[in-house]
Amino acid sequence: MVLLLARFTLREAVRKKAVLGGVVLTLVFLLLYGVGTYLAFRDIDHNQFLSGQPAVRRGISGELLLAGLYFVDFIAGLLAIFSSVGTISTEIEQGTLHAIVPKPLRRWEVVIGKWLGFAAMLAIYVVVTTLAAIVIVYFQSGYYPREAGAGLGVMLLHTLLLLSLSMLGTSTLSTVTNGIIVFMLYALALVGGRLEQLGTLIRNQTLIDIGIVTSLIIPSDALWRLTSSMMGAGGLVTGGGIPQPGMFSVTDPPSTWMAVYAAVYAAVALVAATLAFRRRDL
Amino acid sequence: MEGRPAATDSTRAVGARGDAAMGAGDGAAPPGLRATGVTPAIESLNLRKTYGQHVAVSGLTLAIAPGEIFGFLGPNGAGKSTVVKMLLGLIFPSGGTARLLGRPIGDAGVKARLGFLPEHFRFHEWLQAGEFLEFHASLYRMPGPRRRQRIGEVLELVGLTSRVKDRLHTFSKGMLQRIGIAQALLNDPEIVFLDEPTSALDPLGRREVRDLIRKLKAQGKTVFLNSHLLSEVEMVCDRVAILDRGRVVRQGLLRDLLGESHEVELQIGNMTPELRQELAGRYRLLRADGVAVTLGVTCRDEIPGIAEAVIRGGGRLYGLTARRFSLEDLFVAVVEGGSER
Repeated sequence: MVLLLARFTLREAVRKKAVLGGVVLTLVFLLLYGVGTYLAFRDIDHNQFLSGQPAVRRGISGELLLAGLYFVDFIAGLLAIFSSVGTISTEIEQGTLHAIVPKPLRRWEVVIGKWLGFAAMLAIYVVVTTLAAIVIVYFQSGYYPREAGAGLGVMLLHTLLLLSLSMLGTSTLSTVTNGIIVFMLYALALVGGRLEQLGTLIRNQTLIDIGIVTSLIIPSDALWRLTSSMMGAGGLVTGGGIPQPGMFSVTDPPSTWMAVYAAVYAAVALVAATLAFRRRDL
Repeated sequence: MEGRPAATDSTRAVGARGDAAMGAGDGAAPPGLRATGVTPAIESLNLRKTYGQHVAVSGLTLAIAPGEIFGFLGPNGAGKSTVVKMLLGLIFPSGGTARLLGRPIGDAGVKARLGFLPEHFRFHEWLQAGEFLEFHASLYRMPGPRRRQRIGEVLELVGLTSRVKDRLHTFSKGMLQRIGIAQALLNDPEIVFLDEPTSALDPLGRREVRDLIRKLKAQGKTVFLNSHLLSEVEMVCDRVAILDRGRVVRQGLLRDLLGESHEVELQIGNMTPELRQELAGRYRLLRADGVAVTLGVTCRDEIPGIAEAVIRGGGRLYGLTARRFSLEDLFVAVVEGGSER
């Protein structure tokens, strides 16, 4: 029953124009990304100073890959939120669940089935676009991330974390309220992450603490920073030979325990969603 | 309640017990068929639903026999759909209990034996009609060959065979209601809950649904029919309950509730106060407006006596029209707090 509902959710999501729009825009992005990196490396190869320094070239390659992956991670997060934000609450409001729930299934199967359907869609999106970005950069520069598999796993975890959070919201709140809350949390994580990085850079413990607390409330940006440390080249190398953080890389990534925390967080959110939906009046 | 039938069959037994429970009001002993050895298809005991201070359903006690067509009536906001949703596990009671086919509501085994047409029949309109039924049949875990067979049968039943490849968003409201009925019958259910099943249908469609309900009865199905369309209910139901502000205010076999009561409209010349007093004393005076007087009688045989009384009292009888009370008359009288008939 769970797989039936997952397939149904996947079909529904694929048929939605918003998802189709996201895919088309991503294809456009990958095209522009490919052209952009090609032109960037052509310039680098023609630059006498840069072409002769493999460490510098590697740093730039890593940074360009992270730029592409940041886009993928950010869009996957948005897709996770906006595809699932009303999957239960809107169906309650519209009454489409009224013909489904009285059928011989258990309510948790509805939540888990929908989660699996979205998770499959998002996983396909994240894996395909991430691999596309890696391949594009690899063929232009020969750069391949040190921990590509682990980085991809953390990106998937990030997307599933937001999906689980959104599923909890849609199981308990109205669509609009859920959308506002989850998106605000997503934005909070982004800002908190930036503050933590700034705190690390200027050695300000208050900013670092704010970032850590924010990561505990919603560990989505912490997961991006972990991805960045796994997929990037460790920063940009300047004339002095010392790596400096670029726009997308981090100097002090979170511990891998943050990934464990995020996985537990996502699982708890999903279980809470099933429990909430079990007692919800439709 | 007048005219209570003897408990000679299961339907009658339910009616009698249901009436008894009603007469006693909320908190009465549960009606049921267990004493007669028949498990009610649907039974509830003091079922309640409250939203904060608002009482949506108050102490509903019902028992509906297998094979019965039960009409559930009430004005807007009376709580009819709330009751249906509680019985189907869509919302949770604040108090009381209910059982379907002898099992608690929400039992997975029982859910496989139910069919439901929701009031607003909103479905996933991006699906084709065939895909929609395929999905709902799969929710019943029907094996492939059986699924295909039933989809063909129910499409035929609701007259949508030719539209199997059309997406639901191209359907009219009436067609959506038909496809909704089709999904409610996919599993050949023992109990069918129909919430306003004809609200979007034209007169021909309504007649088809009435025929369908009769066909379901002939097959021994139990039908729980929520409807505003009293004439429809009157034509197909064995028994009705009228719900008002969350409480059942009248319940019983339709033939008992309507009985032989008639409304008699008279056109009387030379009406004197004495004659009016005489008529009002012997019969129920419903309306009096100049020469027009309307009386209520409980039995058709009382009608000749009215004419005799008018003439004996010196009145000149210009017209006498007798009309049997309809369910609508009963509904209006009950809901508007009309006097007991």
